[in-house]
Amino acid sequence: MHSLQAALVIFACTVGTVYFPLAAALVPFVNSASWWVSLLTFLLGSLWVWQASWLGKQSPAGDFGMAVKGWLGPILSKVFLLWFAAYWLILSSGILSEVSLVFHIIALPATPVLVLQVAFFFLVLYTDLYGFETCMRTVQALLILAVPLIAGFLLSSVVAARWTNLLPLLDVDLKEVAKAIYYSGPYPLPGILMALFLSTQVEERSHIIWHNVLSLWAAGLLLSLIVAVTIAVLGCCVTESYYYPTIPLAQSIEIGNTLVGVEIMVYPLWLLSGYIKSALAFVTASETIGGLIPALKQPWRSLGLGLIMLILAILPYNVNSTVKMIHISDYYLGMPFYVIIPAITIWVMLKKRGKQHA
Amino acid sequence: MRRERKKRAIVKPRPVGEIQKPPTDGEISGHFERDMQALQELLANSTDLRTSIIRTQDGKRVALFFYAGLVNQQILNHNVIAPIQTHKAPLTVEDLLERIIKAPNGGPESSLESLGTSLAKGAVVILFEGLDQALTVTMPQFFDRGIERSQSEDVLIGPHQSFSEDLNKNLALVRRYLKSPRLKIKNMEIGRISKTELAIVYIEGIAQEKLVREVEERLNRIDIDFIIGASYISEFLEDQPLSIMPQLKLTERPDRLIAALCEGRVAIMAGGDPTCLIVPFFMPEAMQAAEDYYEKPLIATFLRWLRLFSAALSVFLPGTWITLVSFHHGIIPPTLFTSIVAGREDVPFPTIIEAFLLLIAFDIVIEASTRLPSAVGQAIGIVGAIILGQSAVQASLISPTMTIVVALAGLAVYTLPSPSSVSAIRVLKYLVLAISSVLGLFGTVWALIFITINAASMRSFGYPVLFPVAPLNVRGWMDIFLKLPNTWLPQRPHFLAAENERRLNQGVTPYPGKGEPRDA
Repeated sequence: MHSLQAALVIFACTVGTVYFPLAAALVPFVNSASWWVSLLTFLLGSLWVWQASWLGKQSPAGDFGMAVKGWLGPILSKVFLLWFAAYWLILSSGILSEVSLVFHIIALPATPVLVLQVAFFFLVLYTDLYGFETCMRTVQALLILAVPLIAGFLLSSVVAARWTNLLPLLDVDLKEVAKAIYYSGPYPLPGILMALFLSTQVEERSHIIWHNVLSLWAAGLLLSLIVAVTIAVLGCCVTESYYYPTIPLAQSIEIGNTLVGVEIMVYPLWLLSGYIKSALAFVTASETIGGLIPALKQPWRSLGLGLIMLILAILPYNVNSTVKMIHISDYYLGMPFYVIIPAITIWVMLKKRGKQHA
Repeated sequence: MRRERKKRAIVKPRPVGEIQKPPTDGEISGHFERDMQALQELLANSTDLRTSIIRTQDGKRVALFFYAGLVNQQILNHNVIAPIQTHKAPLTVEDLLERIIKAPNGGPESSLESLGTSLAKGAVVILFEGLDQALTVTMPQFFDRGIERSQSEDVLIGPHQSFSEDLNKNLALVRRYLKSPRLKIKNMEIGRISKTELAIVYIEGIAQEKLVREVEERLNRIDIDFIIGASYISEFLEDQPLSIMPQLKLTERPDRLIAALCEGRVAIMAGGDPTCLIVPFFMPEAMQAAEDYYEKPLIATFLRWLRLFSAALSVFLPGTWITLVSFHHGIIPPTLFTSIVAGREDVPFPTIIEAFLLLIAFDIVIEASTRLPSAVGQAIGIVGAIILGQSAVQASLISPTMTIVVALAGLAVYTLPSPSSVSAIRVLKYLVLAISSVLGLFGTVWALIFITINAASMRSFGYPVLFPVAPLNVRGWMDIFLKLPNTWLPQRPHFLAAENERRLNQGVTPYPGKGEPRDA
């Protein structure tokens, strides 16, 4: 695996489905300044990507489990790997549930949500059965389809933008900015943790740190652009009142008299990005568990984890409970990594310095 | 009659691929009558076997065995029979080979089984009284069509030659294009009964050795009674033979083969088949046509995008149409939707049934016109397209919009120059249609992801078939999604020819360099 491919996957994992709720998560705190606060969040996130990539570079390429063992020793590494896998597994369940529920509500009300969940679950499971390499290649191929769709979506939205909605630009309380950064903290996290995971797998690592940091910046830039366009088209009040303001944004756009709305562009995008993130999350969890329990071979590993994932995905009965589930994964399981990664980095640095002195 | 039946019943059927053991110990003994009898028993029950006994000047008997039709009898008379009959001195194997028989390919042989095999390959077996070795000499006569235009990969501009069923002629054609001693050809034989000749063709120093070795190993593993040509063995070489997507490139055009060899690929050619296999194959290359390299770069780029769009249209149009009309009609502008509904007013079937029926009818027409002789095939195409379609619409069995959708999807696939990709797409559109008709747009995207996962999991001789899309290689795009001028493509594909990448010397441009005069 080349570091550029890893960077693409990190980009895909960071953008994921984040562009659907991000504007609504920031606007309550910083209103029209949301777009640059979002950019700031991702710029800050790149510090963690730098650390994660540096950590990955310190271990021989190939096995994430072995790399963590090298950093933390045999016992702590198991705790870390379990936590890491749990974060990804719950995140993948949450996204599976979220995508199916939202699609059921906006596009297929007559089709039972369970059918969509099971169909979507099958794709994720199928990817894992083929392994991480296939997952990476699938993600790269789908990304090439998703990027023009996002670009088309943004361009067609820009027509309806009222740029005055983005003013005032800097009239925000610093406390609120800090709060907004904290609450949007989970959004760069998949990119950071994916960078940690992939940096241990990449063979060609000469530019890995820069490639990973740039990919997070690129994702942050794209997401901030989407936030800016959403606020410019819908205004802060409307943006705030939705969980996923990108959907009313799409519904409000008309292209000539050809298509009444551009939902047609957003529906596939929602599914593609949902699949990309969910599959990456599930496969990462599966690979981590594989490193933790080597005796658990395929297909039993996929089937076992898949069953847990499906049950977790079915549990939420509406969008509110799905969002709550994703919050559990984001805040209780994800946010501690903002402390854990620097701690491991310092620990590894100290160990390295100690070895050099010795 | 009864006795005859009884006699037949006790004859044990010979297992396929097994040659009946001769009565001797399997070797030429030097005893003329016994060896004759052994050979005749080995080759019994073949009416096309010709045996003739001649005598030399000193009265020694010489027996000739050959299969009619495989041997050029005029050359046999002139180069073998006449010299032997006029020879006086006692015969030795060396004399015969070096001075008497005028045939380039010959050699002594003492095993009866090998003699049988040589005979089947078109050799003449010559048995001499008093010699404990027989001779085999080859003077083949094969009936082969000439070098003709390619049926499946025809072009308007560029060479029109295509391969034929004669392996030697095909190899000579390759050598005529590539006049380099680095062009290597390794011969093999596959098929316990058919003994089909195969050739592995590559350019030394460009093709990676591990790829050549892998091809050889995979071919060596094939143990089967018979094969008919190269395309027959493709499923033995593919990593996922059950997949409908192609994993090997098939071509019958020498220019395409040469281009592939110069990129570092390896070709497999076989006797009896004008199609040769090229490995590895990357799926996005299905958009490349031989003509692209004789066209202007921008026009070739446009055509490649047109093919890509057509392929996508063919796979997804029927499914997406069903999705829009049956599930998400709110997206369609009201005026358009009204005209669609008006067209379907008298149609008794649901949209999905209508689409399936029409797609199957379309594929039946295509299949029939392919199998029928070309003149009749064309007529069937016209009948199918105009009469069947128009009559079905007039009889209110199908709607006019569905006819347009299915016709467009059905025809669009034929813009692809790769026949194996065309077949895959023809099947895939049914999968997309089936899932879309159940799950709407969710199903269409589901099918797209499912197809992508499958394609991403596939490898062709160890190389991912989605290259250069996944793994992403922007340089690889320059000759896949674009067709840049050759002066802008100085390197071979990195993946294939890592050790010898440069194909164009630096500084080679069509325009003069700095300071050089621009006028003629």
